[in-house]
Amino acid sequence: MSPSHPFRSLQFRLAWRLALVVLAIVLATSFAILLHRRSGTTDIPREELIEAIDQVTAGLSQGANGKPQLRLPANPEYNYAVAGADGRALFASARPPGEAPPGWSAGFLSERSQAVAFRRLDSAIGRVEIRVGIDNRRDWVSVLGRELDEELLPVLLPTLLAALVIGALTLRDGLRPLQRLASVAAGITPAESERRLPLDDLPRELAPLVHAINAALDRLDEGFRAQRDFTADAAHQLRTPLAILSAHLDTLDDRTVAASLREDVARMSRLVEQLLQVAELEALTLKPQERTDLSALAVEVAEALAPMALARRRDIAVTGAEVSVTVHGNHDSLHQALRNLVENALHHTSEGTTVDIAVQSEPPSISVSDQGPGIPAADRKNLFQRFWRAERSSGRGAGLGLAIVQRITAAHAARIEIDDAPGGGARFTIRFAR
Amino acid sequence: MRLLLVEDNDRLAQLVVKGLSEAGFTVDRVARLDEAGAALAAGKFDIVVLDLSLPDGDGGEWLRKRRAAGDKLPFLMLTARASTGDKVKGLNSGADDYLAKPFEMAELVARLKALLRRPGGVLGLTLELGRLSFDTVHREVGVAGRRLSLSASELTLLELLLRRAGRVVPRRLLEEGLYGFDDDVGPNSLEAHVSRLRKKLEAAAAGVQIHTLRGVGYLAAERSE
Repeated sequence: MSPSHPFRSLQFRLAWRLALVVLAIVLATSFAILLHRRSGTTDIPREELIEAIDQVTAGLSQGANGKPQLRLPANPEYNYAVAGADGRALFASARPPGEAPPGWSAGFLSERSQAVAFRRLDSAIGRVEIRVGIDNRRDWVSVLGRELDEELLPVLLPTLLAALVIGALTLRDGLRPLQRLASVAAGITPAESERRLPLDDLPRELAPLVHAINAALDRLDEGFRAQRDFTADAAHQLRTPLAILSAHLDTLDDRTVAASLREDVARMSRLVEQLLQVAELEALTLKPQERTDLSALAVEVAEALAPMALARRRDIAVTGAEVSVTVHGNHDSLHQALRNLVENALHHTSEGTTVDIAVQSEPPSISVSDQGPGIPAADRKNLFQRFWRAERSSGRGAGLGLAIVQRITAAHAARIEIDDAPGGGARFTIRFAR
Repeated sequence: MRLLLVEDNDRLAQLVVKGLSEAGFTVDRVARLDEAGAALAAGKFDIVVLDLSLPDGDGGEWLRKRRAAGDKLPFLMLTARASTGDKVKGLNSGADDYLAKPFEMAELVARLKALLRRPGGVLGLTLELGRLSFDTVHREVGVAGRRLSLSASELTLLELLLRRAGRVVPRRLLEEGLYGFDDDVGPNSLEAHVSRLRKKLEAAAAGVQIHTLRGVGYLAAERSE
């Protein structure tokens, strides 16, 4: 069954079963009433029977030929039988009532299919015994229908509806904690792997499931932490050998070999650096009171990267940083993100051009534009995947940089956009929520 | 310039000693904090390069104690930890600068020289860049022996730039330096001062370039021909 199938819904199932129960109660009640009717002792239509006897009595006469006659309205609603003093049957309808007990002058009887009255009296044709019977009300289906219609439905239908509504409300109320659990569960990410589902206000029936889920999360978290720590440790451990390698290169006599090896070491160092950043990022959670000034950040990053940029004959400028623009953000990680963007821009901008860091306050954003070849619209989507590079064969940069930027912006509920810088080149903009 | 290197990794220490010696430093190397303490007590050093994690303790903790006891030597912290948070921790412990492994020898030398160029540092008396030399005691500037005449405000700007040669000097710092001479430092007044200084240096062929980093500050570097 797919999750959307109605039988997967507890509300639907409960409603369906309640409806069956109510229907069963209706049927059982109707049937009981029916049986009760058929036993009929308390429900003999006495007046109708007496009227019928009077009608039969009045209908009896001595005919011209000396034979007794019976005149009755066409199709009487009762059965009848008339017997003479000798007990011989004189007149009878179809399905006549049975024998009357001897010795009584009048009385009522309850037969299986009809209620019966009898009277022994002197009539126009002498002493007779008149018996009349009225059929016990029609067949049971119509009785049931009538009972349902007249007596059961007005009571049972509201009861049924009330049961359904109360059932649905109880379920919805009882299951409401599940919605809260779902929203908490949706927030559990690698960055917040220590969060657990709350057990308060939970129906007792759901507690074991939530306990089990929390225990499973504990085990996953442990494995995840081990992995993260391993990455960080490995990156740390790689630093000293890299430092040795780098220092060793300075002592080489062959300067051209040293220069090309130094580039390799620089690339490796950068990769190690980025691995470490990724490991730290996995644990990045934004504290509610953390604030960062984007203007100060822009100047800081520009200051740090300017010597390297100038050495490579590129310029860095900051605009809009005269006033502070404060956002809810983690300083160290935003510094890292901006640094990665500026390094990336410095790498792509052509010699003699400027990488511009611009801060805007309404809404808060920070953008980095270069004067390089720009990024084709088709490549923009792939740009943030780890290790993706437009020209895979080309130079430095492990391709982790932009993936790290994206992680950091995501942790800040910020958006990163790529478009064309005025005058060509690429522009990356990190937009913060107000 | 006498330098104490505190580094426990023998191979790295060997290479750093070699690189720094070539850059003109006289280097003593120890591998432990207690040895470092003994060396500093015994001899006169101009600067210390300190590894953060050492076999007998944490370099940052050790430095904090020395600072509390009144040690004013410039310290450069060397470490395998690199996050910005660690960096702040390192600077809070009293280190004057911080360099993460792996690093390039040229970078280490540049940082050490910048520390030594601070007022009171061993290189702080005469600041040199390109063909320019700045005598901070007599406040005289010369280019290849010829004296260059600069105004008091230009001298202040030049000193600030030379003490942090190769690194960005923020606008704010320069503006604060100028306040003594010009009470009304308008947004363009710093530019005007720098522009005049730049012209004079160019005319004297000082071999020094003052880069403008728009919105950030200025950076003095040797002019690359």
